Amino acid sequence: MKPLRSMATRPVLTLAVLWVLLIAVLALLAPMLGLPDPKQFDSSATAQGPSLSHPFGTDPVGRDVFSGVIWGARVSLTVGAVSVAGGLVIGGLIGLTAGFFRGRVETVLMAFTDVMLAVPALILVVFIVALRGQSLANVLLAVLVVSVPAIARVSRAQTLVATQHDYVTAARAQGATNLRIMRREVLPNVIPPMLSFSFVAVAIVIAAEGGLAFLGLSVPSPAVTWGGLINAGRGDLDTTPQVALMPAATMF
Amino acid sequence: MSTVPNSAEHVPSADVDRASGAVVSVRGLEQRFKMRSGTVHAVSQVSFDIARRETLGLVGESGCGKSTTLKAMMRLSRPESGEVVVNGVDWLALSDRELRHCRPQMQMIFQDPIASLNPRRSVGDLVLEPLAIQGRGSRVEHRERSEQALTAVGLDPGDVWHRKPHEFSGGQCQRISIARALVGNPDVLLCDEVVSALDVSVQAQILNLLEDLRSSRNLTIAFVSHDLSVVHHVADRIAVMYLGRIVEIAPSGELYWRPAHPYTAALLAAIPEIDPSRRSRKAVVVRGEPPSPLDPPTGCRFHPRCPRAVDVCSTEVPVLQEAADGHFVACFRPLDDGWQSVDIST
Amino acid sequence: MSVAEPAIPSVPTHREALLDVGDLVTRFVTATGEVTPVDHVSLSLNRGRVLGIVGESGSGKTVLSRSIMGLLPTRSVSMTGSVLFKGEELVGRSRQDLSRLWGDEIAMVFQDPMTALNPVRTVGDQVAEAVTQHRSMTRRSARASVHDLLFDVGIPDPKRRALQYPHQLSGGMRQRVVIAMALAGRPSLLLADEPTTALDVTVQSQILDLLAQQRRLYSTAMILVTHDVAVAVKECDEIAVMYSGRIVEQAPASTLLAERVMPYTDALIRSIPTLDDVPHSRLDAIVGRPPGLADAPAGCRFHPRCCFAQDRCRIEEPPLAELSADHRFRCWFPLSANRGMALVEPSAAPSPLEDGSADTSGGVVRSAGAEGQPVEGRPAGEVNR
Repeated sequence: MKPLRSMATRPVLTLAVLWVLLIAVLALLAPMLGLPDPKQFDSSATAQGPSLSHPFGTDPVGRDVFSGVIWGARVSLTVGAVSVAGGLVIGGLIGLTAGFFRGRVETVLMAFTDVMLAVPALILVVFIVALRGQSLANVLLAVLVVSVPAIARVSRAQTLVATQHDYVTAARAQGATNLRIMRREVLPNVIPPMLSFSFVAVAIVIAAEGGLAFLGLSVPSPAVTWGGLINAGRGDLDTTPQVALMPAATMF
Repeated sequence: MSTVPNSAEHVPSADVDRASGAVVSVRGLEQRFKMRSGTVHAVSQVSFDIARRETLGLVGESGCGKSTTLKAMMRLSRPESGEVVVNGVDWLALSDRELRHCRPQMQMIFQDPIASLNPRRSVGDLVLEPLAIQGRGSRVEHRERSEQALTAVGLDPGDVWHRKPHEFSGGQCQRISIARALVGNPDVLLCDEVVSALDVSVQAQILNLLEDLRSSRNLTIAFVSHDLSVVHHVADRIAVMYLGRIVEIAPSGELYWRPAHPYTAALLAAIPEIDPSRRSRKAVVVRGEPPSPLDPPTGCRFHPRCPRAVDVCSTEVPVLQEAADGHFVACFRPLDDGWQSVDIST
Repeated sequence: MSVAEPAIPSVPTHREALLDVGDLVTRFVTATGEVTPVDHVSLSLNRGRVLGIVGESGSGKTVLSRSIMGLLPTRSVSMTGSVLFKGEELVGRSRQDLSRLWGDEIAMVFQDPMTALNPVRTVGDQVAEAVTQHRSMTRRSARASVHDLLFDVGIPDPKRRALQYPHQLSGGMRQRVVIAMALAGRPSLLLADEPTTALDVTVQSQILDLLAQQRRLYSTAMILVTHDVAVAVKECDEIAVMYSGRIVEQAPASTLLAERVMPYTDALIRSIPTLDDVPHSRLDAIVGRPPGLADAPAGCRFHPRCCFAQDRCRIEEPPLAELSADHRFRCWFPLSANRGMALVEPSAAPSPLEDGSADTSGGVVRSAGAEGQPVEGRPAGEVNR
């Protein structure tokens, strides 16, 4: 009952969550939907506007844009989910440790994340991908590296709040070890806000992947990603705007 | 305790004599906090003993260091120096591991009953936690003892065990906290403003409960409160603190009838008395508010507000001295016959 | 803002009460239903007098004071009854309309001076705003009156203090500033909601003395909302004891203690520890806890916690009865003065359960009657819901 009630009070967030879920489900079911192959040229239907057979229309070489969006979601969401999950674990631990122990530990860890944050994210990603070559794994790694410092910051802030509670002091008074306090008193109160933050993070990361693909640095073709689609449709904005606009609209 | 050197600023000698029967013995406790703007002298040279089954009240206004004293005793902070001897063992000298083993002997209850319980855990889990931490005994034993503790504080274990703290009122949460503190059978209980957040009618229930538990479990209690009437009600002896120092320590009745420190008299006079017939004789007025502990006044820390202050008060630190049997006061010009002698004109 | 002719005459033209609250009901509409924190409250206050409203949490005392001032959000609150201020009806008037009165005629002092002050503006700035809100004056004369006001409320060196920010002042100083702001418009009614609860005891007495002195100077009437009976007895002319949204007893402060007849008033006073108690003695605690807004019991609202409750109390709510012209109470079986004193002795009974609404016990709540004889108990669990 509780999540339902909170959904009623926060319609925008609810809509966003439902949207992500819808796309995720569609992406999972993509092979079963009987969609036209997004890489399949169809010379009989090039540069069409939205229609029943092609809900998002087709591009100048006759590829179905809707299908491209759905198939692209597979890659984009994977990148988003996996890198955020990884970032959550690594960044979360960094933040938790820094926020819990304070003092010198915090100074060192936070100095490290601050330096990372100071480097423009896109440049860092471009650098990593350029250095290690284009592949799904490398794109994942790059996005993960970028997401860690931001997540660490949020996690530290949450930990600082969570350790202020009287019951943490009470646990210490009972003789609980630091590890036990972190695990049983602090972590359960840090995880929920982190999870809700991670939803936002997934969106940011998908956008980042899009930017990467736009620059032609994401997963190499012929794989379809949202960023790749936008990139491909960019040149023909005047004639077939749906090619670039539809994936972009889905993204946001 | 006879080995305690008297070099500390002021260790009342008679207090040391009592120490043989003391369960808790605090000597020269010093707690400072470094802030960006300077050092806060939160607790300065605090010494006292508490005998078995005795309740010592600690009163004072906000910032006087009474709660900090308890936290330092529990080693929830890191005191700069001093001794906190509990059952003959100095807690401040223990390693973290040794301390963990000693912790069940002295437990603490906090001011905010709701905040001191983790909202995500069930009542049973919360009360069981101290036993789980110590790890002695079986799961079944733990459960049994936790249920006994809940029963002892007037809760029905079967009913409350699986519920979460937010389902309970402030008074009931305080009962849960008390159960958690008592589940390990401590000898000493430190109570930090435990009834301040409660309604008057509920406050009386909790005070009665603590009183029952004290006598049935032979508890030794340090009871901190800003409310002198509450402290007077539960304590055998009362220590009055001002800006990190104990300025007076005496048996409760004695302190009330014959306060020797002008600050104590002012504190007593400021209590709104419900019975109008008793109001007239109290006319001690202090000026201003306690100064910041960041930059405490020299000499007697109360002198800028004291109606009786003389030159020496601003230059020298008064030492706790025995004014009457068991009645110690740190003042160069103590009141010798209670508040009647306070100069009203100031 | 132009200098408009004030709609309310500042000189009293009649001998009516300054404030006359009649049958005031304040309802909150919440997601879980409707609650009534103020339930048919009537009271009146003459010029320059002080009325204390005493109660525990959930008694509705704070909501009552805000209802009188019209400070509650209009969207989720419905108010019926009347609040006559200088003969003018306040209930049903728009916020905009009421705000003309605020500061000028009715002012409020809040519990927490830190939240009542804007942290990013200087103290003097904020007092100046209160001064110039209802009259136009030059900056220079505004500044001068700010300094005067601050000096009047006992702030030493007002020129320097006026340039400081709230966080640079101590709690007591901040409350003095709040009082200076409240008094800036020379209101005829001051609503003080727990003005000293956040302060230390020595500072509390200073602030209460200040309020009394300033009030006398301008013959301002005051409603003092407090949980502390002793403060109310000391500061007020008249005291209204609230319980679960209702006034259960109202009497002059000078006689309430001696002549209290409502068992709740009696029990409340008895449960307060005093300096005359013997250490380790038992207090006369009231069983249970104050009912929440949503679970007010039927009949007399106090009956589940009352050791004199009879069948009638459980079914029928007692009306406000008069003991004398100025002493009213709400009880079917009032204590006679001597009975109230002698009946409940401190007992060694087991500590009573806090039954309340959380239905932790289905057991029998016992209270000690005369000579330790238990008064008829009753299952506590059935009281609520």
